[in-house]
Amino acid sequence: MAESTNPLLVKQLTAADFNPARFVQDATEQCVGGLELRQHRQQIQLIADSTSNELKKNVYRNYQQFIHTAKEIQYLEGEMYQLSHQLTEQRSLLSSLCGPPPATALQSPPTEEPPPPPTTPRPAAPDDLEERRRQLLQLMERVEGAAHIREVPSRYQLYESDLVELDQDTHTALQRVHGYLFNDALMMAVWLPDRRGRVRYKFEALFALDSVAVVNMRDVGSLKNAFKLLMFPETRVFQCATQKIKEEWLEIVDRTKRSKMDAERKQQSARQKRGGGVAVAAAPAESESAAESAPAEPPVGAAAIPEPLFIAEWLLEAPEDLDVFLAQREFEAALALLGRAREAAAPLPDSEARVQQLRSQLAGRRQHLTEALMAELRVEAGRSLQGGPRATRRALQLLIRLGHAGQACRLFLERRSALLRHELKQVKISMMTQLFVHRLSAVVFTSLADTTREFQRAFAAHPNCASALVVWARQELTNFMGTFNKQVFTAKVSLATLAECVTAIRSQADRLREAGLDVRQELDTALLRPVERAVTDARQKQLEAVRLRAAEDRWRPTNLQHAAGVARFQAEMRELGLPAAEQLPDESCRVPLTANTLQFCRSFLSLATELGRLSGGDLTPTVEDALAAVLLAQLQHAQQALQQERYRSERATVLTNGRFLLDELLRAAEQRYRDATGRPCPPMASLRTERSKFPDL
Amino acid sequence: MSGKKGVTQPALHKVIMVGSGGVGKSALTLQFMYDEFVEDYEPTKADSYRKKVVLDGEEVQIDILDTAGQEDYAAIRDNYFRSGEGFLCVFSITEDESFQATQEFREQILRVKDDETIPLLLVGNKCDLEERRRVAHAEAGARASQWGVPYVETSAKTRHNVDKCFFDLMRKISARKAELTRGNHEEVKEPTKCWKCKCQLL
Repeated sequence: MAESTNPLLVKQLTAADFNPARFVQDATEQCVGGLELRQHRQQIQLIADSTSNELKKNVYRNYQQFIHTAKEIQYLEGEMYQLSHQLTEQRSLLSSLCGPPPATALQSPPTEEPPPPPTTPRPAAPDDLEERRRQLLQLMERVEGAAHIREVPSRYQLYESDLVELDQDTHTALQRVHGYLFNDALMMAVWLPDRRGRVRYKFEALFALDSVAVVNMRDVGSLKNAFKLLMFPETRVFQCATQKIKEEWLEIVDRTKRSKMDAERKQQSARQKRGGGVAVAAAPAESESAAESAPAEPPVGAAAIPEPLFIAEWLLEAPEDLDVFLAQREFEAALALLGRAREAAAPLPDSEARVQQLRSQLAGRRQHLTEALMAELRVEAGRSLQGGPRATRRALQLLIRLGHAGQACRLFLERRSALLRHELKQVKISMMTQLFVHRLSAVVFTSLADTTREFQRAFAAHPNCASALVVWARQELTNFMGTFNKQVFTAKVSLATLAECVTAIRSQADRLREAGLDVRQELDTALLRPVERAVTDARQKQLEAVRLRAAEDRWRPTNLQHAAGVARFQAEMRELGLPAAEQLPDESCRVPLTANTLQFCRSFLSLATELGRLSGGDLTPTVEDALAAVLLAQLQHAQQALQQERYRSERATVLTNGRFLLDELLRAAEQRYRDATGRPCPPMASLRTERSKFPDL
Repeated sequence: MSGKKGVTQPALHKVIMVGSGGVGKSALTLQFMYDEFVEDYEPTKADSYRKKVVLDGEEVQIDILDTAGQEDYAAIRDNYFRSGEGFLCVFSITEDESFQATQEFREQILRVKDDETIPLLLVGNKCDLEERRRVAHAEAGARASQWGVPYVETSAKTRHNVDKCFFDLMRKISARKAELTRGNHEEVKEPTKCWKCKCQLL
C-alpha cells in the first residue's frame, strides 16, 4: 500500500468549493466493488492522520504563542467584566440621577467612620450613608431573595465583585457567584444563567464578618487569585478575576473588620463610662458653670485604669475630639476634655510609645486652644470691638484656666484700652467744655470701673496680676488727664466751669474707689499744679478787680430807686445768703452799702463757692489764702477810706460797709466754703481781728 | 472524603500554624514551602498554602493555614481551628511570653476540636538564636510531655528541623485518620443496628 498520499485527493479535499456530498457521490461512482471503496477510505484515513500529526507539530512549534494567547484571552475576559460592570454602574447612577431628585447638589463630607476603599473597581463609594443605603437597595434588586439584607438598618455596601467558586479540594470551578461585602457581613449570590429583568443573581449565603475567617490562598499550580472562607463546617474557595481584585477583597475585609472592632470597643468603653456615672462633655457645655464643673469631676470610670497599659478609648480619641471642639469653637468643652484627658493621662507610664504620642498630641492641642483663645482676645483691625466685657469673659477664663494668666491679663488690658479709645472717639468734642468733660470723664471712669470689676472677677485667683491693672489704670488716667488739661485749664474757661469739671472727675474717682480702684491720689497729683495756677490766677483777677473798683469808689450809698428795686435787692441778698442786708433799705429806697461793696459781695461769694470746690489736699492752703487775701484787700480799701480826709463825711457809710463785710459777708462766705468742703477756713476767720478797725457807732 | 475524589486526589492533610504574633509561623511555612527565609516581618492576616509531598513513599497533599497571630474575633479563631486536622503550636525560644501563650492556644484548640488526642506538635522556633534563649529546652519539653505531644526545636532561618516538624505532624494526622476510619466503620454500624432494633420493636 502506497504510504504517500494521493496528491489529487489532497487537492480535492482542500479545494475551496469542497462539497462532501458530491465527493462521496463521485467516490461511489468511481469505485467498483467493496475493495476499491475500502482502499479509498484508507487513503482518506491516511490524510486525516497526517493532518492531525501536522497539527500537533504545529501546536508544539507555537506552544509559547498558544499560552500567551490563552493568557491574553483570560486578561481580556477580565477587562470585559470590569467594563460591563462599570457600564451597569453608570447606568444605575444615571437612572438614580434621573429618578428621584437628588437630596443635595453638593455632597456633604463623609460622616461615617470607615473610609471608602480607595481603589475600588466600582465607582467611588458614595459619600454619605443615605447614598450607601440607596445603593444597597438598588443592588438588592439585582439579587433574588436578598430582601432581608436590608433589615439591618446600619448596613451598607463596601465592595463587590464577580467570583468563581472552586472546589476546595480539587480547585475545579463549581459556579459563578457574585460577592458583596457589607460593613458587617459578606454575602454570596449565585449567578443566574437566565437573567430575568434586573435580577441577575440569587442569594446564597450571608456570613457575619466577625465569625467568618477569610484566608488568602497562595497561588499554587493552576490555582490563582483565590481566597477561602472558613465557616465551620463549611470551607469555600473563591477565585477572583485578577490579583488586584483579590488584594482589594482581603484588604477591605481586614479594614472593615478592624473598624467594626474599633466601633465595638468604643461602644464598650462608652458603656463603661456611663456606668461610672460621668456624663461625657461631648455635648458643648454652654454655660460657664458647666465648663467649670466639668474638669472638677474626676473621670470616674475612665480614670480607674484596671491595667497599667490599658488606655481608655475616649482618651485615645481625645486629640481628635479636641480638634472638632476647636473647629466648632466650643472652647469650654475642649478645655473640659483636655483637662480630663491630661488628668487621665498623668498616671500612665512614660515608657509606652502610645502614651508619649498621646501626651505630645495633647500638648499640641493645648497650644492650639491657647492660640485660639488668644486670638479671641487679641485686638485686630477690622474686628468689631462691640460685645462688651461679656464677650471676652469666656475666652479670658478659659485662658486663665489653661494657666496663661499672664498673657490673658495683658491681652485683656490691651483690649480694654482699645475699647476705651474706641468709646472716646464716639464722644464728640463739644464747644461746651463742661458737657464735654462730663461725658469724657464718664466714659473713662466707667471703663476703668468696668475693667476693674472684670479684672477682679477674672483674676481673683491671681493676685500677682493686680499690679498690671494698676499700671494700666495709671496709664489710662494719664492719657485722660492730658485731654482734660487741654480742655479745662485754658484762659477761656471760667473758674466756675473749671470747678465744675474738677468736681465731676473727683466724684467719678470716688465711684471708682467703690469699684475697688483708688485713683484719687493720682488724680490729685495730676490736678495740683494746674489747679494751683488756676487759683492763683483767680486770686490775681479778683485783687485786680478790687483795686479797679476801689479807684472808682465814692462811698455813696446805693439808691434802689423804688419799691420794686428794694424787693429785687432783698431777694438777691437772700439768695446770696446775706439776710441781714434785707433790713438795710430805708423808706427812701436807699441802702447804706455802696455799689462796690455789693459787687464785691456777689463775686466774693461765688469765688468762695468755686474755690471751695477746688479745695482739698495740698490745694487747701492756696485756696484759703486766696480767699483771705481777696477779702483783706477789700477791707483795706475801706480802712484807707477811713483815714482819707475827703471821705470824712462818708465815714458812717464806710464803717457800715466795713462792718457788713466782716459781719455778714465773712459769715456767708465761710458758710459757702464749709458747704463745699465741710471744713472751716481759718485764714478767713482770722480776718475777724480787723473788726476793731470798724467800730460800731 | 468521598471515594470519587479519593481516586483522583492524593490524601490531603490540613495543618494549622498557631502561636503568638512574631514567633515565626510564616517564616516556618515559607521555608517549608519555598525553601526561602524572609527576614522582613509583616503581620500575617491569614494565608493558606498547598503542596504535594511524598510522605513515607506515598504522595500526599499538605494544606497549611498560616493564621494571624493577632486576631481579635474569637469566632474567627475558632473557625481557623475547626478547619484543621493537625496543629503546629509555635513559640519563640527567645520570648517567654510566647511560650506562655501556647498553653492558651492549646486550650482553645482542645475546646474547639473537643478532642484530647488531636495531632499537635509543640514547636520552639528561632533555635539559631541560642544566645538570646529565654525558654529552656527542658522546660518546653516538660510542657510537651505533659500535653503528651512531641517537642521540636526549629530554625526557620537555618531550616533546622523545618521539614521534620511538618512531616512528623502529617504522620500523626495520617495515623489518626486511619484510626478514625476504622472507628467510623464501627460507629456507622451501630446506629444501623439500633434502627433495626427499633424496627423489630415496631
